[in-house]
Parts: sequence; C-alpha cells; structure tokens
Amino acid sequence: MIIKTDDYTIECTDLNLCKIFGSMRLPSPLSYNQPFSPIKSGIEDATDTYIIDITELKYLNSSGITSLARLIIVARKENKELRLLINNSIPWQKRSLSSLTALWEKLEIKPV
Amino acid sequence: MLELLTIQQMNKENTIFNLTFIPTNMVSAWKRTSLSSNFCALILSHIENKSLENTFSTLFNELLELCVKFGENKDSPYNLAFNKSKKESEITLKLYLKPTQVKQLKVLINASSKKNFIENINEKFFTTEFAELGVSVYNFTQLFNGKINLHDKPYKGNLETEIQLTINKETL
Repeated sequence: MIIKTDDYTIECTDLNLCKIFGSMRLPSPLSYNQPFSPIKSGIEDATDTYIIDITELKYLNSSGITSLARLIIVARKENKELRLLINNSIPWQKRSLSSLTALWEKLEIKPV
Repeated sequence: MLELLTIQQMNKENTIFNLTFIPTNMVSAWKRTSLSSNFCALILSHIENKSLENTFSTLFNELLELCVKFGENKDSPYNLAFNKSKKESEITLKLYLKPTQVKQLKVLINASSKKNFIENINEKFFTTEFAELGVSVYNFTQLFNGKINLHDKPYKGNLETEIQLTINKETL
C-alpha cells in the first residue's frame, strides 16, 4: 500500500518493510492512526524482523513520535522484532528516538 | 498569519528574533503551523548556521503547536522570541493557558528535571492523554540539555504564561 499526500509518503509495498518520506506534522496522535494503519498491520503480519525506514523523513512532531512509540508497543505485544532505520544527519532523529528502545527489547535503532 | 516578525543581528554573537502572532490565524489551517516554523527556521538559520534549520524548525513547530492546540485567548497576540548571546540561546514563548494546563506543564517540567526521567519513560508515558506534551518537554530538556522556566500571571480567567527554554550554545 502507498499513502501519498503533499507532505509525506508512506510506502508499505514490501512484506516486512515500510518507508516513510517527507514531513509528518499531524495535529494529534489520533490523526496518525489512519496513515500508520498499514504499518500496524505490517507489524502484526510480519514473518521476520519488521523494518521501518525513516531515513528520508525530514520532520516528525511530538504527536508523531508518540504514535511511533505506540507502534513499538504493538510490536512488543505481538512479540515481533522491529528495526528502525534512522538518519543521523537529521537532528531530531539522532536526538529523539534513542529512548524508544526502553519500550521493547527487540527494537533495534540502526543509523544508515 | 505572522503578525510581526523582527530580526536584529547585533553582531556575530548576538541575535534577537521576535515573532508576534495570533493563533486564530493558524487554527483555521493546521498546516500553517508547520509552514510558519519552516519559514522562521529558514530565515534564522540563514543568519545563524544553515545546518540548524531542521533543529530550529523542530523547536519552533513544537512551540507553535503548543499554542494552537492548548492555547486560550487565541485572538490575543502571542509571542515567540529567540535571543542568542555568547554562551547560550534562549527561546521564550508567551502564550495563554488554562490554570489546569499550566499545572500539568509544571508537573512535566518537574519530572523532566529529575535524573531518572529517561529511565521512567515507559508505555504509560506514550499512552496517556496529551502524551505529545510530555514528548515535547522531553525533547526540550533532555535532548537539547535545556532548562525550562515557567512564569505565569492571571489574564482574563486564564494565565498569561511565559515559557523560557535556555539552551547551551554547544548543544545547538
């Protein structure tokens, strides 16, 4: 599935992989439910480590980080391994996401 | 959308940036918050350091979202200022909040000043109502090694609130 708007694109075209591009600054965690629903389904149906690639996501607001954390909680509840591919040259990715590993021991945050 | 924007670069080490805005103008289209943040970040990073554009935009956006989502008296002028001196940078936001919101913010700020704040980040932190406010405070204090000071005084049944973020120059 591909969700494309003027600001962001979410590509969940491969099994076990999802890519998010652009800028996501939606008004509340609730408003992320719809665009993140294919990722949630992907995690639930994953047959191997599920990968979320945000290396080309320029902005994500605190509501988005909250929603990303909730996806990690889904992975923990489903006992699915998760890998978050990040871009250390984007400051908020380098600074804001490391604490998410506290939510799930099988979450790997990997800079690429 | 942006009522008044003034920028003064006193010299290489001192910059004053001041933005006055009326949140009502942003409420009508949520995207304006992001556009305004990007616009201000673009200008300020051009003066300061181009590599800071993403950081400025992230910080400004969180503060503008705070105003649009939680602010009261939205037809009154709000103010966002950036003041850089030799050693540190200070971002000050003046907005209007309900007393209960200020109380909630104070609880979060107090919690974030404790050493074990990061260790205590758990599922509850991300699943409570207005969890994004906690994430914002976390970003300011932990990630930018910032200090938050909060001052408030009564204003038309709400509180005129001033949030001061002091960020060490090296952290930026």
